[in-house]
This record gives sequence, C-alpha cells and structure tokens, in this order.
Amino acid sequence: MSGKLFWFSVAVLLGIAVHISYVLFVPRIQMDAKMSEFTKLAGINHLMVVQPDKLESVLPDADPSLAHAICVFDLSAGPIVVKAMVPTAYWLISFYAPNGDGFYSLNNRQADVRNLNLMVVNKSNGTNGDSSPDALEGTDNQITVRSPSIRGLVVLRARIAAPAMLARVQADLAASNCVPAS
Amino acid sequence: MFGRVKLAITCLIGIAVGLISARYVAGGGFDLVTLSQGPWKTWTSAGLNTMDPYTKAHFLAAGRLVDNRREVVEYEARSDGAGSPLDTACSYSIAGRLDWARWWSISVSQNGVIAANTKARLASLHSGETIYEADGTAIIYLSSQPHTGNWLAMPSSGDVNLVLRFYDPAPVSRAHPNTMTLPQITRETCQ
Repeated sequence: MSGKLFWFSVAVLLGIAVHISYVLFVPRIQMDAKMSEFTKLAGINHLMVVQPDKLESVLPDADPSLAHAICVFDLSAGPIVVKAMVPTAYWLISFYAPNGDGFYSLNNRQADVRNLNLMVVNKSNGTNGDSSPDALEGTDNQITVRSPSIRGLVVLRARIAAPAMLARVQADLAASNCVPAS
Repeated sequence: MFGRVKLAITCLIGIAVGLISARYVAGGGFDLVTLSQGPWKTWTSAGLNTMDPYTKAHFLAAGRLVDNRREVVEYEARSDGAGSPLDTACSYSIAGRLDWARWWSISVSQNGVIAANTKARLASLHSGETIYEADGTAIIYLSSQPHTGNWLAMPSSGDVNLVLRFYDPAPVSRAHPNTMTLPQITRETCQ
C-alpha cells in the first residue's frame, strides 16, 4: 500500500468513527447534561415554572407561544404523581426518559377533565414487563404512566393566547404539582 | 517527525470530515432523514417511536426535546421560496392557509435559539393572534423593522431560520407531513 493511500484510509476510517460517534453519543451526552441542569434548577420531584427570560437556556428553541413547567422525577423511592390542573385552552403534558425519548404525552382535549392525576411508575415493576402499554387508563381523572427509566422529565406546556395572559397561564401551570405518591 | 505531522494532519482531517458530515446529514443535508417542500423541511421520524439516530442528533445534540408526532408536526426553513438563505437585511412575506391543525405557531430562531429572546413574544406569532385575509390566508411579514399587519420580528444580523409548528394536527398530516399546504416565503425588499 502506498503511503498516500495509507494516510487516506486512516483519515476515512477516523472520519467514519467520528461520524458514528457523533450521531450515537453526542445526543446522549447532551441530554445527560440537560438532565443535570434540570435537576439543579428544579430539584427532584418538584414542578418549576420556567420564566420566559430563562426559556432559551432551559429549553433551547422551545416555542415562546407556550408557557412551560418542568419536573425531574425519580422513582427510586416509589411512584410519583403529577397532579395536573388542566386549562380549557391548549395544554400538553409530555414525559421523557433521560436519553430524550418521549414515552407519553396528553393534551387537554384528550384529557377532557379539569383535574388529572398521572401516577408514574417504573415500567420494570409492571407485571407484564416491557409489553405493558405506556399508559393505563384508570378512572376519568386517573392515569398510570409507565416510565422506561427510574428518572425522567415531565414537561407541562400551556398556550399563551396573548402576552397579557402570561401571568395567568403560568399560574395555571404552577397550580399543578409533581410529588411522591405515598 | 515528518510522520507525526502527517498523523496529526490526517487525524484533523478525519475528525473534521466526520463531524461536518454527521452534522450535515443530521441537519437535513441530502434529505436522507428529512422531507422538503419548497424551503420547508421536516424530519420524517421526529416524534415517532422509530426516530432515527440522525434525527435524534439534530434535536437532542442542541438540547431540544422532541414532541410526539401526535401532538406536533414541525417544519424548519432556512431559505426563501427561491432558495436564497434568509437574510436579516431583507423583508419577507410568508403567506398561506395554515388551518389543518388545531393551532399553529411560527418563530424565528438563530442557531437553535429563539431570536430576540429578551422580547421572546416578538420572535413568534401564533394562529390566535394572526389577522387573516377574507379567504382564510395568513400573510405574515418577516423583517427586522416593524411592519403593519402580522409582523414577525427578525434580528438585525446573523443567520436565521423559521420554525413552523402545527399543534394537535389532523391524522393525515401526521402520517404524510410532506403533503400538507405550507406557506410561501417570498423576498420583498432588501436594504
């Protein structure tokens, strides 16, 4: 093998390795960093409303038409409950695993109630293991959500119909909470 | 000595090519993981259980959470309808019917950060605060200077892109996001 071909092959192989590493590992590393940041900001099992001037640093590229609240949950001591006050305007609750995979979401029309309790349990504790659905509908205002991981993130969003309504929408979000079930 | 220099240069080239190619494909280059409709791109597996690694890299490497496809269909545009990159020295009209979801929003982003974040509300507009033409068409003006009507503020410098989100979209749009009617982006004037 000539010298030039050798160095070219080394560059190509290194390029392929870096390409694959970037695609596979950078998102995970970034999400780990974000989860640590969320934990520092909001604590564990505690809902925090994100102020508009902090939105870009907390949730990059998040839609400023929405008010946001976050809760980092930890199921190591048992299930947690998200007690959500659901407004009549657009509202969305989303659950994410630490690797950024969303595993459950629900909007206000689908919820169709004003007060909703979402019990979050670890999927591995379910009797049916991984074949269990991500959410089991209970009563009208009680849902069990199966998390694929011990820790994760809940994001609540509500539409700000007009700038003057920001405080009210944030108060609606703050009326929800995220606490240990027991 | 000469061998070490060659090794260093080779490593630099390999790392640069690997990083640039990964970011290019994840960013929608070659349309490997995206679908394009005019200037608008959507990441085809975003928000699905089958989300591919490049799409994950596009969103998560920037610290962005991906919304479930049932809830949100999202498009990004970095150029106007003629293919020219969006220029902060120019003004644009963004026109079309956007009524195929429960509601929509459009925001201006700079390198993954919503522009004018100290006045975040200026950098976005949603369906509820938009004035419509008689036929239901929305005409939005994108410019760094204030504009009458539906004004979407653009920063005065830097690269910008638009993010168009449809919330609670109709099932057909979730399944075939490239078939939906998207607004035309037309360059109006430049300074």
